[in-house]
Amino acid sequence: MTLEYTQIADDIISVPLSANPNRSALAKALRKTAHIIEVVEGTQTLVIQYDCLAISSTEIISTFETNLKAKHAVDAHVSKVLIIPVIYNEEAGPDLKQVCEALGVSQTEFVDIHTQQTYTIEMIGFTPGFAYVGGAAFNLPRLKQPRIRVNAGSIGLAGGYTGLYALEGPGGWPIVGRTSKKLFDPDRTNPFILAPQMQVKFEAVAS
Amino acid sequence: MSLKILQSGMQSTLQGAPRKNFRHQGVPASGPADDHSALLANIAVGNKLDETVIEITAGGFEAKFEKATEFALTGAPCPTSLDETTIPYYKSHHTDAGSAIKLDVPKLGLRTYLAISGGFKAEKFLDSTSTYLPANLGGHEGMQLKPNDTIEFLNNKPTTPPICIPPRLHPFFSNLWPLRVCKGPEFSALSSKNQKSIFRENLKIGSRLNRMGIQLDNVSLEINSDGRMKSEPVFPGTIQCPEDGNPFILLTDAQTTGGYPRILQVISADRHRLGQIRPHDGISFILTKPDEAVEILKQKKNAINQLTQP
Repeated sequence: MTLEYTQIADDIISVPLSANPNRSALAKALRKTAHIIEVVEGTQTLVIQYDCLAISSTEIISTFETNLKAKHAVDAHVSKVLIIPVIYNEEAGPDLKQVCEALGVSQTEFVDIHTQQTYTIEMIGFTPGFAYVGGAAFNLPRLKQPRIRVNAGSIGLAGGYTGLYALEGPGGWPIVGRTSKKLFDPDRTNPFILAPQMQVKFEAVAS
Repeated sequence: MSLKILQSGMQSTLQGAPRKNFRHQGVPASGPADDHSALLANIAVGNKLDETVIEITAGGFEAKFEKATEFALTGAPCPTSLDETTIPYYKSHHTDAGSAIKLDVPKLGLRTYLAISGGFKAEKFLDSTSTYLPANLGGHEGMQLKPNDTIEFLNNKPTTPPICIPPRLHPFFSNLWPLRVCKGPEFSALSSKNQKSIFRENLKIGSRLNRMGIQLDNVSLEINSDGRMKSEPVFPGTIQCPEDGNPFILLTDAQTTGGYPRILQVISADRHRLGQIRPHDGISFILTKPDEAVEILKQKKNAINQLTQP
């Protein structure tokens, strides 16, 4: 297999690889390599930022290819399913009513559909800990006017994804509920509990 | 009791080292928007290069030293006084307890850096003291500084004696910024006409800019994009272009992934200039090859090394 590397400026290199559990394990291994500053997973690429005065792009590519051939243990969390309790009501999900109207379903039907399947987190990105959960049964547009403040734990739906807001902040996705689970805990060594390729299932709770 | 803020200007924050190796969790780098000026301020007082400094936006800053210290200023040249006496930038000054510093509005540039000998005390988040305002993390309770805040001094020992930064190492300030760039992964989404013209024309900055990004105005590039590109990694210095044809440049607090074509990437050696661009300034892009960009960075690093390791 010949990969097509794209050099993006002096210190960034991109390689086409679609999201999958092995890619996440490879990314994790690369993050431990000296002079590598960032390894970020996109939807279709893996991008490496490195100290270009300490290591050359040729060395980065050979390090990458060595790691690509090696077998990396896939994280244990990939095989487990994390249950995310969600409060689906109009207080926790200010757009729930409009979303149900747009989809032509009752709120009960919506909750049944959304909590039915097991999903995979495709990507963490945009803002700290924001999770793109793939495979939503609904393909909704973003809000015309993004909100300046969305509560931490908010559950949004847009473009075939369910989005989990780990932190309070701005947001443009219609919000259908909120989880009581703490998605961000600054006191933990790893403050973010969600990671790419993790499997999640939503469970409706009263509060 | 150490530095008491009297006027905090448009936006003042504590910034230290950038966060590294956390972009995969959506955590941006943060740190000084003009990290080169922050580094020079630290060198001037003899600190380690990424010690915590105060980043002052568009001047209008006043503070009282409640403890004697050495301090230095770099970056956007604001007319500045210590107890009514005008003081120069790029060198260390002594202040007694009770003296006040006052920065007026800069004529050029946007961000000024105040370093004190031994550094400012700040909260750490993910190994860095840098403030990330959108999530209120790091720095001074994750917030911008406001009047009556008190910032404590650290007692870190300076690593070198204070160094007067020679004028040849002072970054230039202008209202027209040349930026050396490489082609981004989606450069070919630009029309063939724009693939050439983007390197020939001066482009105008709009009125919307912050530590996350700089919006260009009335550029109207022709971009071949249906707005459905999958989200891919972006970095400080990435230039994306949405369907409306007005590109935006990402800065140190920017999001970590983006779904618009990445048309250009500012080279490492020039990224610090982004922190000095103000609303309605002009910019021009100079096409540079990645290996040339490595050489440019090497020369810049050597000049700094010669200064700190005589």
